[in-house]
Amino acid sequence: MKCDLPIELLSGYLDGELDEQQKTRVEAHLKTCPACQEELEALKLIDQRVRDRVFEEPSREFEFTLNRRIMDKIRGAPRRSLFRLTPIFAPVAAGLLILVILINISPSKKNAGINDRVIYQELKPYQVLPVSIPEPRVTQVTARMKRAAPDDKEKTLATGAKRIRITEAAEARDKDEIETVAQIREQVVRAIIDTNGTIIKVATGNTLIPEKDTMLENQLSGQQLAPPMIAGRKKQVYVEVATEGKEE
Amino acid sequence: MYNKVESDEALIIAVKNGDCESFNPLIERYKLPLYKVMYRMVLNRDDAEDLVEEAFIKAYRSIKRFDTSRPFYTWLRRIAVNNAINFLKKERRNLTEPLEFVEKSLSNGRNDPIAMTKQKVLKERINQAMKRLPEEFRSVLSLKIDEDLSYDEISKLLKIPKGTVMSRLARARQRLRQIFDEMEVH
Repeated sequence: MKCDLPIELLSGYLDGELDEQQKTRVEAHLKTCPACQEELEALKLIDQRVRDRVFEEPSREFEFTLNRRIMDKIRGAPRRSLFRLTPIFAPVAAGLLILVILINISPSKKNAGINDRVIYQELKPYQVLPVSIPEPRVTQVTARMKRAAPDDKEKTLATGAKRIRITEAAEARDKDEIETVAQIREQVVRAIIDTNGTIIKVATGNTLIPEKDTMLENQLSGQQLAPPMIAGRKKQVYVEVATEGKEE
Repeated sequence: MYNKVESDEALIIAVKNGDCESFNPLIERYKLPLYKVMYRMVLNRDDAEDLVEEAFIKAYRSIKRFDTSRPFYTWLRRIAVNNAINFLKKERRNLTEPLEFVEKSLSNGRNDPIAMTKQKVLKERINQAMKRLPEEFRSVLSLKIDEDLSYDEISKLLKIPKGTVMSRLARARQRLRQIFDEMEVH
């Protein structure tokens, strides 16, 4: 605008928002000012353009599922507020769960199997079993699979050693010898002891869940170890033990 | 099921008394008018739909404070508009798109002027121009032109003085005219 009529008055006049005095002033001015007449027409055109702008209809999803979405949230409002407390409750719940698990490993549970998911505790220093694992102990890198007669079965292991050799019988139909590179393993012996420290199960192997070893179990069953204490109480647990030959 | 002829007031009283299902007819009644307001402010369908949903949920959560003697839609719209203004402030990047970007978006495949009618191109350009308006201008302009609210109503809705409404509207029109000129919207 090239005159001194404030644009606010012209805009207000267009909207019909001026008081009588302002309205009279603008109308009188417009009669004598072509620039403001032009400006007023430009403002009207702008309003028209704004009204004409693109309008997208809402999606079908909005029309058909909005109510359900909102109502689901509304109905779930109390639960939502509870879930907000999850960061607080989660550690407490986890702690309680651990406590319950610990409590439920009852001293009276004497029939745990070798693969039961009872707490495993490695006792250090290793408790030494008062027996020896059958000889021989072998320390070689290779494992030899000798396919021989079925009665040619021999299992040797070197407990505590870093290397192991297994010579095992296979089917008699093929007597070829096959040599393979053995993985370096460490044999462990695990025993389940009851609350008095008496050995009731024995397993050997090189994994966290070793296999039951009946022969060794027969030898060791009933022998006494110092029972471990958990949370001030004697527990029936897996204990990893060293045989007499195992080096610490 | 709800009775469709129940008044807003009766439904709101029921909601206040713990019957949340009575809120459903209110959603049905006002979702489309509210969508129109939201779309004209944010100029994007997905955003407008999200803002409508948020507005209803906010309204439900504060319904205990609502004075049932007053029009529900006015109150709901106020919640929605304020929410949209906050949204636009956060999405300020939309308002400061450089002109080259706008021009590029108008000439890309989706908005190919050849494929579109002249009128449609113009409407698209107007939308782009509106997006370049600062949110405080866009909201007053939309409430005045689209909703046909008085200065008093806009003042109460946005909680700004009536004089500010008048001033913002005048400046919004001036600014928009300038943008139209830059974008050759005639």
